[in-house]
Amino acid sequence: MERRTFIGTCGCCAVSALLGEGWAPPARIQRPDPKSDEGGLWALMDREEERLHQSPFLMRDAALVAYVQAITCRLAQGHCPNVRTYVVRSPYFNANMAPNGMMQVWTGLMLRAENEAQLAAVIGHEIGHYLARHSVESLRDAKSRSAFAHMVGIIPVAGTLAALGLVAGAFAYSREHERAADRMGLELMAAAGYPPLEASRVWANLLAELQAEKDWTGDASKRSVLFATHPPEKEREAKLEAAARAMGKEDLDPRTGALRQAIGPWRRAWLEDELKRRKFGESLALLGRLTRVDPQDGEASYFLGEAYRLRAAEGDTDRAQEAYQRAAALPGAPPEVHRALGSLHRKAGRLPEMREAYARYLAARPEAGDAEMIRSYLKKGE
Amino acid sequence: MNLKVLVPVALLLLAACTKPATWVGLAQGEVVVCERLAVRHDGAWSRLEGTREPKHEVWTSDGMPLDQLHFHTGIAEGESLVVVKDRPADKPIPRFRKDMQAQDVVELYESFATQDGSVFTLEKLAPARFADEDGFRFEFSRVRKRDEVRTRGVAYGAIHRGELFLVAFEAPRIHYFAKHLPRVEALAQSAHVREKG
Repeated sequence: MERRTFIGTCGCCAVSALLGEGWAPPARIQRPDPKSDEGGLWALMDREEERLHQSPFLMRDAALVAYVQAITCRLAQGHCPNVRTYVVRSPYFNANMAPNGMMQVWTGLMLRAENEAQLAAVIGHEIGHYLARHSVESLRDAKSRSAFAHMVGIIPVAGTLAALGLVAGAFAYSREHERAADRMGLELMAAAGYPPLEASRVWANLLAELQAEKDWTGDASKRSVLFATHPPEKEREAKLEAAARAMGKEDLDPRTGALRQAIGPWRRAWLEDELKRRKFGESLALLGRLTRVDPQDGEASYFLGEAYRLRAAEGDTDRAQEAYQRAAALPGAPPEVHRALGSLHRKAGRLPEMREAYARYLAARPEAGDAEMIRSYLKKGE
Repeated sequence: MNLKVLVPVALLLLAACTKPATWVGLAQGEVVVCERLAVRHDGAWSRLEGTREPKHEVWTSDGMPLDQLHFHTGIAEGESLVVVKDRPADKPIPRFRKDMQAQDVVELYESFATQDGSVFTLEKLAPARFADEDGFRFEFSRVRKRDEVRTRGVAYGAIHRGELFLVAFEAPRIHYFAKHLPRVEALAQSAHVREKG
């Protein structure tokens, strides 16, 4: 299950007017009676959480998890002890929260957030669902209950990432739930010291990615489950922005450097995951944005080249080569950029350039898994 | 998950049930796979028949979840490793090109092995003789998305007269990979291309 989440919109211009003056988060949520429907739901989620602990897709980097948990705590305030944050390695843009306080943040979301405030926008939205106990309301809704029963019946191997996605997807929130969670998310962001305006920017960036798909039809609801239950997306983005502007606080620090530093050790692996989705329109839009935001980002430039090479449409070889050459001259580009250039030179019969590029790759990665293969090319190219 | 999703899934399952593919035991000796690749084997293999895949064949020894041997034979310029139907237009099908290098072929295989969201890691890539050509051999590991089992794999590939020949074996890294590896290596070493008739 790739999708579900996050943005609804504010149906009016001022958030406080919708949530009521002086809105404050509710008291801490107590564990429900095990015999109640809500208690049954918690028990199911507790078992999923135990299995999540064993999942190979769970990120176990303590510093990374602590970073995300700290954001969650800043937003959840007094509810912090009840919320457990798990970072799940999956290249899709997603976060979800189970009623028992199990929160999943997927790496595809962290890769896409431009700053900590944007990550906080999505987490805040999910905390909104939790505080309002929307999943229990969904469960009590007859239509969702039927879908939920089906879902429980068809999970092939419980505890897998696929199954967790199904569980998350079972909470089919209504538009009203999405709008309410979004409003609470904005309030929580502001209270935690994040500029609420960043919430609409997450949305705008994601929409730009989906629009970039080659065969874009103009109907976002056909592109992603994300859009299926939401009102027209452009209008939503505008309303969300208006609501955030009404709140002010635009001068708060979105903490761009903090996010970049936290994900730094993993960004490369996550970009590799991103390309494996083979959604090259979306990947090119993402990488185009990353290289525009920071033209000195050699890593993003290398992956832009990779996206062109793998898409392999007309003219993409030249585009890939240009991106690789730019990357090779920048800090942060991985040594694989020289291997990529070497391969392009080899295919084009430019042997001196091939030798130089492959030699630079081997000098940096003498123990690479493919070193023997590359050495055989150098031997033949002599 | 909602009914809009469940109904098509159920229909697909029903459709798949109408024409079942079946496992058929193979007699020891030489077998010509998809009329293009002759290999010698020790007899403890079954072949999946009725898959309607003219250039892709699957064998197993202990059963599919425990080990699988994939043959991709005579893949020509512009063809994919397996027959792909109804792929969304925004997800281009990875296709073979005859100017591909070993690394490109590994990525082609990887896209096939990760289409379900599995995690694939290339461990080693080196030159090797295969199918009468100077080809290559690669080793990989994978975390299967479906059941999160960690597997290991080994594959031999070569481009012969512009066509790709690839044999890939994969099994759980606990026990089953090591159990069959020597048999798979011997089988790959015995491979010869049959020219198109």
